[in-house]
Amino acid sequence: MKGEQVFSEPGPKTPALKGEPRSLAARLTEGPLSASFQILSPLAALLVWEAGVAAGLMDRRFFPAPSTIFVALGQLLGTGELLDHLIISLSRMAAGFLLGSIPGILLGLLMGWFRLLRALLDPLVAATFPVPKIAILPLVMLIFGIGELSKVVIIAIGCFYLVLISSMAGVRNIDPVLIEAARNFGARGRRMFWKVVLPSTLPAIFTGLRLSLGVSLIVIVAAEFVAANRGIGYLIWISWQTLTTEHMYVGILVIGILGILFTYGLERLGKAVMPWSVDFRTFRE
Amino acid sequence: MAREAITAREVTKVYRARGAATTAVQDFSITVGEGEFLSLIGPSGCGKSTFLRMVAGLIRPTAGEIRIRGELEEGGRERSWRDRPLTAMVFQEYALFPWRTVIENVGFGLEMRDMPRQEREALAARYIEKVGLRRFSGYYPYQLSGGMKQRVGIARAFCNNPEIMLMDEPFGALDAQTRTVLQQELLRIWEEEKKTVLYVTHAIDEAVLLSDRVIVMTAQPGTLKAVVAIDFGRPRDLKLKTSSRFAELEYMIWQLLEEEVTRTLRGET
Ligand SMILES: Nc1ncnc2c1ncn2[C@@H]1O[C@H](COP(=O)(O)OP(=O)(O)O)[C@@H](O)[C@H]1O
Ligand SMILES: [Mg+2]
Repeated sequence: MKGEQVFSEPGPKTPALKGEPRSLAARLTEGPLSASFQILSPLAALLVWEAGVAAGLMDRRFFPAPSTIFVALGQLLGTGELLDHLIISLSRMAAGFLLGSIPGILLGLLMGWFRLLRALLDPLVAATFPVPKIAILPLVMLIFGIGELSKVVIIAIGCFYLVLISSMAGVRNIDPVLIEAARNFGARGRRMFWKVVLPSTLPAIFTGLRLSLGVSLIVIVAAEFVAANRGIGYLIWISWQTLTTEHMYVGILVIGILGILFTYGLERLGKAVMPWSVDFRTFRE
Repeated sequence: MAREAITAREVTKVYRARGAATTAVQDFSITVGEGEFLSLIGPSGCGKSTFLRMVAGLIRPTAGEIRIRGELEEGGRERSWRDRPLTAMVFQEYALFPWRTVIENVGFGLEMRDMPRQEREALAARYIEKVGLRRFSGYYPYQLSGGMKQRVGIARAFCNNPEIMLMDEPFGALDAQTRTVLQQELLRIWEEEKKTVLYVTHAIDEAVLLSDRVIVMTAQPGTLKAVVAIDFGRPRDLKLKTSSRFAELEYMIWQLLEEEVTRTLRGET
């Protein structure tokens, strides 16, 4: 039998054939040049900034020159202070993230699959989800004290809702014909759940996890503003109070880098866990 | 036709959704012989898929009864589906599991029946070979064309070794050329495996080419309109289409269908 056309082979995007002319845009955005091309515009912005401060066009109290910020970064790294803040913030986030997402995934899957459970709990979820998590931070601190636990709990709450809602939606969106096929081929009960429902829902779960990581960053910074004496949020806050703006920028920079790393890491993880997912390739918008 | 593989007696299915009731199938009685290739043909919405899903046990008839030979063993004990399942379905939408490779899809039924991995993979590989996809056994569904996907669907169903194959417009979503190739492949595999097949199609030529008998159904609510015996020998191939008898049968079935199709179209406007 003649093989039919295969739409796409596994692996990276097919490279252009040798000798085939490529447009300027293609040469700059694909292949070895792409990395250097992508840093072009951020680099230009930094140069303009640096020049603006040097020329006295920008107030260095609010906008310290990039070079000043990098020196501050070096100092904070050298004393180990920055690493300290980073580790404590990351541990709070990791604990809250795990504590929130794991129950969120499980309850979301169950609520998606069992109609009765959904009918019972959905009104509660719908009513409490829209409350901004920052708004209940004082309440959480009241209940769990101003120690580590309250920060972990507030992050967990934020993650829990997002993951719950996406995994529930994921189950609800499973193509019914897949469930019929699975039943026809003998999948029942737990096996249906682990071998069919869970894998079909994975892309939606990952979307929920990605949203959660973003929210964790926001919430940890806010929580550390008001109730902490260590952490990146604390670093930003205290630098404002002591008017050491360059330290504040270091904090902002670190948060930004964390955001990028999280998104990238989760994308890599998603590709590793779901090599079959077409959706997942559009993960990075 | 030695024995009956499926006996449907006065089967009726009424769907109820928000107060409105739709009678999809009404008082439908047919028998399918063991080893027979039987096609259902009828205007869209006449309940063909509904009937297949009832035979598969995915939904229950509102009234009437469907019996499958082998459902009860000698002595009346219910047979275990682990030994051999009653039905395996091929879907128009393929319904492959996107997270499973070709070989994992084909072996899905065996896995649910707890067959050890090695045995299961060997058997799945044999059926993948039969549908000519050996090179693709590690591919995911998104990497396959429609025709290849449906070959996987067919391999998955045959591999599970069911009493009865149920095929719901399996080639309905494919282009004409791919469809012709797959019809021939299906003829070949079916002649090797000699399974009872209950086949749904809206293509008259496909029904005539493949079937031993064609059941023409009425417009919704669907019931039996006529039975047309297709008196060609086996094995068959595409050349059959050039015979005048083929054209005669096609025209005969169309005449039976025409009124029902018109009725369906009028009902829709
Ligand atoms: N789950 C359902 N709920 C309500 N009505 C349905 C459902 N499935 C099918 N029907 C209706 O039953 C009739 C038969 O449908 P179907 O068996 O899919 O027809 P066919 O496969 O012959 O095109 C149609 O009128 C359809 O709208
Ligand atoms: Mg149908």
